[in-house]
Amino acid sequence: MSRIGVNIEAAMPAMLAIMLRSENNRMKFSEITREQWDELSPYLDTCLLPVTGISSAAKPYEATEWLEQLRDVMDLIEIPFKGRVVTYPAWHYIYNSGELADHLNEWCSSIKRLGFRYVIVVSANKDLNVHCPAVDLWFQPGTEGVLPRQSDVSDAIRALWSGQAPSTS
Amino acid sequence: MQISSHILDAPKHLGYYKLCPSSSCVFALRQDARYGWQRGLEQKMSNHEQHETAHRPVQRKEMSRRQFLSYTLGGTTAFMMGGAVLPMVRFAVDPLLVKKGEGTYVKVVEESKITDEPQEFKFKIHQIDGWYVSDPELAAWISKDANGKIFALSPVCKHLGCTIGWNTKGQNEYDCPCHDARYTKDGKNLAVAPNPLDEYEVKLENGFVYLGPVMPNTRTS
Repeated sequence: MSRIGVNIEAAMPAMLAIMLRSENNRMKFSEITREQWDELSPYLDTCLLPVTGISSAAKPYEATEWLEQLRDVMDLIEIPFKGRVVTYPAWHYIYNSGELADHLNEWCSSIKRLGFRYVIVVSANKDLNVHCPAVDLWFQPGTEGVLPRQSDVSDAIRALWSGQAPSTS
Repeated sequence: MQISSHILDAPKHLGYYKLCPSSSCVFALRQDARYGWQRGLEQKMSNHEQHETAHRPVQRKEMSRRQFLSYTLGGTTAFMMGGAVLPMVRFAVDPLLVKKGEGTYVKVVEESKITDEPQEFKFKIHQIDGWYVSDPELAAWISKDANGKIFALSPVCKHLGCTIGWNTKGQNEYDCPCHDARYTKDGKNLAVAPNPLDEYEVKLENGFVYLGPVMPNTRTS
């Protein structure tokens, strides 16, 4: 351990904490077994897709901040709606070409064909501006970098599920 | 009186027999393993009563070397084994000695603020889960029943874990936004959910409501 430049001993407790932390207050896609899926698929009809939007222009500490902000916004959705929302792995990288919209749209359409009825996208990149008809609800920080509030998020999701016109923040 | 010459001829260097140094004594002295020099065989014709008391088989409470050594070894062995076994016993007995976390009540709200209508209150608890220490924020819906008894319900839906809300549809029930599960004010499950809402343990002290750990619903049978 001493040969490695990083002070692993100091980081050990934090690393172990992250590894041991069992996130049982949200529904991650990786935690659903084959048997559970058959039983739960009628109830899990909403896919939460985090689009981090790390562009190649972002510095490492900027990317870290975005990831933390993303986690904060995701908490507002994952925890209160645990029994209906399935979180998929994050879409980390974006390119400055215009293909993101097409890729994202295509992916969202195909996940809907799989069985999901709604797709919610969360992004920490406030400058991300793509047009995706397949996405039902889009959350990202405001222009000042202000994260959406829990009440706004909950209201928007309830409205989406009850069939009213979704409002994006 | 014949002198038992064979005694006198006994090898003195073995130390088992010696003549009593006193000229008036008629006995040879025999060394006993436990009692030291004892009166052995009569050797000379004499008035031996005088010396009797001197050579009475003295039951001296003296330990022999063998005895001392065996006591020392036994004692040291017992001490070392105890040193090894005692922590094991303490470890085995430990579960019985651990106090149940009785001090885990958190002050939430003044008692006077509780009404018949359920209200949501948020509070933080200190949680230690293995290595991971956190202070998660929990919510509770606290209300008073017809008898004035205060009870607190957990907002986690028993169906798949979504967060329920009170009276969101105007039916004076708890509603779940995910799959339309419904519960009465007491937490009894009316639709979709298989079980009633869990309750928090409630303690009233100094005019404040303290909430403890979560337990199954006690208000519905």
